[in-house]
Amino acid sequence: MPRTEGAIVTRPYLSSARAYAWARMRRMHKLDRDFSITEIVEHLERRGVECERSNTRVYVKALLMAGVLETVANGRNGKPGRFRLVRDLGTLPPVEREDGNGITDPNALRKPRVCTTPMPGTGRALIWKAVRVFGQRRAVFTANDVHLLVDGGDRPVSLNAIHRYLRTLTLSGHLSTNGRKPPEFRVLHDSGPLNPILRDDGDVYDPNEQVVYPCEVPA
Amino acid sequence: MTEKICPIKNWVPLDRAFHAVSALPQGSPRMILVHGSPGLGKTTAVGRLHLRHQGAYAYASTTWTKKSFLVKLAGRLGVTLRRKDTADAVLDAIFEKIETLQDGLIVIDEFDRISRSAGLVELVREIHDVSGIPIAVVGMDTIAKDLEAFPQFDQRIGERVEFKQVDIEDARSIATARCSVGVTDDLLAALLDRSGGVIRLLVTELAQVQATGLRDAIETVGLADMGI
Repeated sequence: MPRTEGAIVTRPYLSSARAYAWARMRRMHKLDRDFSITEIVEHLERRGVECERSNTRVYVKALLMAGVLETVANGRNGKPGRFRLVRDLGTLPPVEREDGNGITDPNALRKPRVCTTPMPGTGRALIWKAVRVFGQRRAVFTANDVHLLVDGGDRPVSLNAIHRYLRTLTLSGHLSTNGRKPPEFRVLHDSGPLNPILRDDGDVYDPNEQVVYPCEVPA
Repeated sequence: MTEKICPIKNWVPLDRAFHAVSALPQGSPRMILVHGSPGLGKTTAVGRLHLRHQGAYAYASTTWTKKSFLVKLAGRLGVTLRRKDTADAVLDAIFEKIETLQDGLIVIDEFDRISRSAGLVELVREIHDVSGIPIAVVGMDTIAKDLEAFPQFDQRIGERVEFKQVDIEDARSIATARCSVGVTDDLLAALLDRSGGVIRLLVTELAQVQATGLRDAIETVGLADMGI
């Protein structure tokens, strides 16, 4: 639905090029790396997102003005300017105001969703239960081993979903993994029967201990 | 190696046994004895059963004492304990927790490690008698004989499920699920014979078939390809 001209935009289009650009900037921030406009544009093109370089430049400029980004190196002698995200506002991309007066942060306007109780019987609850079975046996296991236990029930759980959740649990320190392919896991920390919850900010909340585990993404 | 789920015949009586003991009235023998030779898929089968019901899965250890077993079981059930809790207090907390479970099941795998310990066997019987929760005790062939020494425990076993060697139909099901290359009937029969119907050994044999098929780009691997 087209937006009314002049209206204050608080809910950005999540499929817009700017939303993808913002997601990429956040990713680089988590990896503690800076970026150039060219790198962002090339990344978006690789993902098949239509984007105009000039539009990305305008967006970066607005974020710089708002203090969300900072300049690491000015573009000189044919070298592109490099930038770094210094204020990670959240998952929703900041919106450039139409009057050119800075940005609106839709994350700040959003009512925070605090999820502290896992839903029993969900795919992740099943995966966690299977992980605890392997933990009891002090066994090394793969995503396929978990799949063998959880599959065939009322709730289908895909192998991809298992891979994603195991990776999250590895980042939060509940599991360890080795460098093999396919990756093998071992339980390091069995905190209790409730499955740890992946939060919107990428961290993991463990409802058994009521502790938030920050998830460090390896560089 | 491709991994898909392959229902095997041994799983069916286990599901049936659980439903049978669950349907029995309170006070009836609700224990399930799951036994069989190693490598027949008992642990996988009870693991799958555990995932579909509330309760706990415990993996027995030769180091268990009565207190350490209770603490372990409490942890599996999500019971919060204090450091100074006595064994009796832990047991009470376990009973309280079990009362809140619906469709509950306690699985004790590798029970043969503790099946000669009169204290632990009696404790498991006490949990069963007081709470009425179905308890599946899983172990190797020797477990049935060990438990005969405790008639009061043996009489609580409502269902006995013996895991048997897989047959050619199960072997075909496993091969289809685990191999992306084809396996001829005669090769499969030879592998089944060599593995003695033990799933763990059969899966290892099939991994070699898979590797040979992929390496030599063979669509359907036969006896000659494997040099048998």
